[in-house]
Amino acid sequence: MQIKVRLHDILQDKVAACASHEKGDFEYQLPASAPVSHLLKDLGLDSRFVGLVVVNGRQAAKDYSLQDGDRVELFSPMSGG
Amino acid sequence: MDKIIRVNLSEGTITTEPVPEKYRALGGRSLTGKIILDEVDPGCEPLGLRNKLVFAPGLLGGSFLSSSSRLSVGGKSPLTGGIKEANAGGTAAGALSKLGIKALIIEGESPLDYFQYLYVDQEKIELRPAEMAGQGVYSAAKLLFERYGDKASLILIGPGGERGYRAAGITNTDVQGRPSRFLGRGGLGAVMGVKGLKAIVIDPTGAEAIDYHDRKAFQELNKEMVKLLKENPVTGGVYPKYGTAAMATRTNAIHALPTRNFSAGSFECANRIDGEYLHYIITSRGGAGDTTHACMPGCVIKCSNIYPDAEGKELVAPLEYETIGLMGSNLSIGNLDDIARLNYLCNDLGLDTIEMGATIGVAMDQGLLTFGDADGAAALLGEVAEDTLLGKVLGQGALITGKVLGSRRIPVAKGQSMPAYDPRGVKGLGVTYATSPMGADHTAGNTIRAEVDHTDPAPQPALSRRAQPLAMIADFMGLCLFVMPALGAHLDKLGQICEQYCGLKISGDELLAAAEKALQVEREFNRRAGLSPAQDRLPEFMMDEPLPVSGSVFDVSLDELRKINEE
Repeated sequence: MQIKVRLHDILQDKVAACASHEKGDFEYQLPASAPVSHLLKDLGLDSRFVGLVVVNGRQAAKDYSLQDGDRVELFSPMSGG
Repeated sequence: MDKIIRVNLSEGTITTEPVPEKYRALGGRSLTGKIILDEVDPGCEPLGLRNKLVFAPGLLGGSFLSSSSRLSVGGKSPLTGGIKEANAGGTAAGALSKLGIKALIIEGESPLDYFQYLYVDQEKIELRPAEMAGQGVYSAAKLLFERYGDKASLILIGPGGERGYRAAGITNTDVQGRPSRFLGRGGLGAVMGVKGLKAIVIDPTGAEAIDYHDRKAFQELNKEMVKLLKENPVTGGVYPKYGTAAMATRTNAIHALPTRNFSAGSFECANRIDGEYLHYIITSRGGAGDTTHACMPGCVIKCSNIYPDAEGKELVAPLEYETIGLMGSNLSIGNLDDIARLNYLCNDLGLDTIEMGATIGVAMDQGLLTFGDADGAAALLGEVAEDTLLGKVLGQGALITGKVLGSRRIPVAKGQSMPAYDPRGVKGLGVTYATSPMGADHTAGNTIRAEVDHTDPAPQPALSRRAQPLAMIADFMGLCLFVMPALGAHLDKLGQICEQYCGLKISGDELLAAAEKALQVEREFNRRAGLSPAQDRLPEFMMDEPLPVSGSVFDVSLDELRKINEE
């Protein structure tokens, strides 16, 4: 299946593939129903560095099973502003 | 830190007192809270002569541990009617600590028909006429620095505080002398103003070096702490590069970004006010701009910034998430230059940007202005500056403004405006807004970092209950809250470094117990002041009006909220 990925701010610096993608936006192939954690592993992102996952505009857990066409946004953790 | 300075403005007297044994293990918020409970009539008028203001560095104040120079100020709040502590980075806490001052108590009310400022150095403490009264904080600070030199630290209020506006905060100067590190919340600037005190000048020149209990061990552990801060994904990751503004992308994504007077949780222009865009603007404009700035000496996180205008000239520093949320999306203003301009105007008047952003949001919602009208918002601040009738109302904050304008959508808890997290999108923080002795305050126990569904009501009371004492630990040690993701799991080390600095032997468990006790002190003051569990709740529109995209309402039950303070 193919999904759309958007890496926000600091996560763009942690994924080499982002260098060639405007604002950390890219499409990505994953096995059907792969969980978000599978994507993190593929991208080489330490799970500690991802504090918030949003799929299709809704917060999701890292074990959420992705579907074809999903749009996944990944954020590093923050503790306040 | 072995003395307490007491300034009685009614009598014009200044006394130096030894620190009583019962206060030795307290600092920052736990010390201001205990002194307020011990000395202030809980039924007093917050803007009257019986209220007191207490300034205190934390237990680690004056040490060179990263991020440990927060200054606390406490008093009875004219917004909440309960106890209040506000704190900020900057240089004043370090200067007080160098002079051995554990607390500075301001009491009474000056009978004089002019404002005074307090001058403090190693040899003398004096009240002097404040001929800069009436001036904004930027020009007042300039005048005081010209007189006392750049080694001095300043604590000061603007015209808003002088006039007793409940939206007024107290500011102090940063490392470069900007008077923009605000102890903003709770209206404590008004408490200082009605006492007739414009500023406090602290010159630590010539003070003896602080005597560490075990300097060598402190230095070793400090290295370990710095390593933890730099390696942590929060403190060593997003904050140094993008600053607090990066929060806007996150709250927007989970529909918790205050938008148009808390009527929507997401903003169509969020990507023009977030951390990535702020970083882009600052780096592309260059000049005085800086994306990574320390608000206090020795901080390794450096989450602050200097925001330049199109010519690279400094417009305001810092430009922070809370201001972006309240003065930006909450007003439907999607332009950082506009938000920076409003921020500067609030700073100069000595007003809390959170309170004023919420206030203008309510005014826009009631049709006084159109959402998105940045010039109109600036004009409203002009009314406040001119002290017109409308300005007098707005300066009292969101609750009074909302009542005058007939609003039923006033985003406050215990009378204090909500910061930049809609509690329908981050319900754990909503629990904190409702139940903290501080009223709506994002620094009293923020749950945003927890990896839970922030709209699921079930886990939120427990999250808030855990977050509130952790926030208190940071506040009484004088630590910036932002160290807690890295150091909060190492409370024993925090205890050790405290012992190495000041000789106070305290374990991680004892830190937690001390935090619980300090929260009890605050609750006790509030109980005596007449606040009750009936006020531990959020405005009804947040319980009844779903946010448009997420459909979320604040549905943590009142029973659950009540239990927080019964445990």
